Amino acid sequence: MNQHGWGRRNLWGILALVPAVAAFLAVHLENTPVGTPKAVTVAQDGWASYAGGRVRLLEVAPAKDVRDTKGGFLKLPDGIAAWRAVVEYDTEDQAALKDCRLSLEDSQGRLFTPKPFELSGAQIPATGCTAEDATLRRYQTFVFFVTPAGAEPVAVRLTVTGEDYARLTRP
Amino acid sequence: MKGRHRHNGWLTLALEQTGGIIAAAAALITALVITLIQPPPTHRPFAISSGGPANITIVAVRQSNAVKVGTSVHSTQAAWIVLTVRVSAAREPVTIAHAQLIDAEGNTYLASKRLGQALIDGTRLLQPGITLEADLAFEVPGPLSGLTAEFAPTAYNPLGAVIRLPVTAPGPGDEQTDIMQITVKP
Repeated sequence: MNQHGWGRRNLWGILALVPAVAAFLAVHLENTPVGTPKAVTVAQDGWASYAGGRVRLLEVAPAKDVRDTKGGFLKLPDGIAAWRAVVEYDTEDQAALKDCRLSLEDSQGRLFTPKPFELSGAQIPATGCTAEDATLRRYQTFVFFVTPAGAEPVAVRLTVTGEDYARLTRP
Repeated sequence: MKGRHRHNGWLTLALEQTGGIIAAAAALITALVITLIQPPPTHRPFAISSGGPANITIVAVRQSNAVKVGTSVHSTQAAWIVLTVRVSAAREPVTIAHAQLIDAEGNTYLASKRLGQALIDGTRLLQPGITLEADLAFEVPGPLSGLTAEFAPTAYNPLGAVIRLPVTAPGPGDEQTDIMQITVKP
């Protein structure tokens, strides 16, 4: 028996390790979060290379002239402020941005989704990262958010599924 | 080999002969123990009272024989328990799609689907810092004690957090309670 190698002598034990390791990994990988996305690098001029093109934040400003569906100015409940962000894109592949997600980040690190329920009665453009004219290379989009009154927006985040995100700081 | 066995002793010999099997057994036992100490997925949500995905406060508890939503009155031969809650997302937008009461005996009662309860139907995305207030109605068999309320972002998420809050006992029941729809609380 001793003439065989260690692996041969312990063949059954090694084989038994396979289901044991598999069971162990099955339990733990289920509870292990996938890697957290990171922010891509943004150049000094505000442009970030992202999704095969470039993107930058031109403006985040209070949106005080939002109209409701009847043409009047939209009245938001007390304690809520609306914001308009203008994002500029420079890309030869708009399709790569088709499923993007945008969010507004405030100085407390809180994130807000665009076109929220509070703006459901507002006349604002559809939220997205593409232009109506799919042949455009350089274009801008307008995105609307709400925050609690007093919140201070500091950045807009742009995320495409499967990629890190672009954190575009407010100019 | 005999000389080697003499030098290394019986323990080394035993390990050489059975090391793989011992390692496999140890790994199997470890995996089994870890599996057993974790509850099944349906029982796995962890309860938190603060610091979760949403901030929730119960500001009032009422009990009645009927609830009124707009002009519709919903009566019951059992009892309605109505919670007035304030909610907001903590750091990122979140929905509340699950609300239930648990009594002292462990019985659970889901928020009633007899009336539209927009706050907890999973469609209203709460934004951080924007506090909404609304009534939530639960139809229960009768007066209950030792109530706890649980809220979760999704109706079924075995790995998610469940926000668990104690519910003070409601006062004497009213004949009818008006249900307040969602309002923004500055």
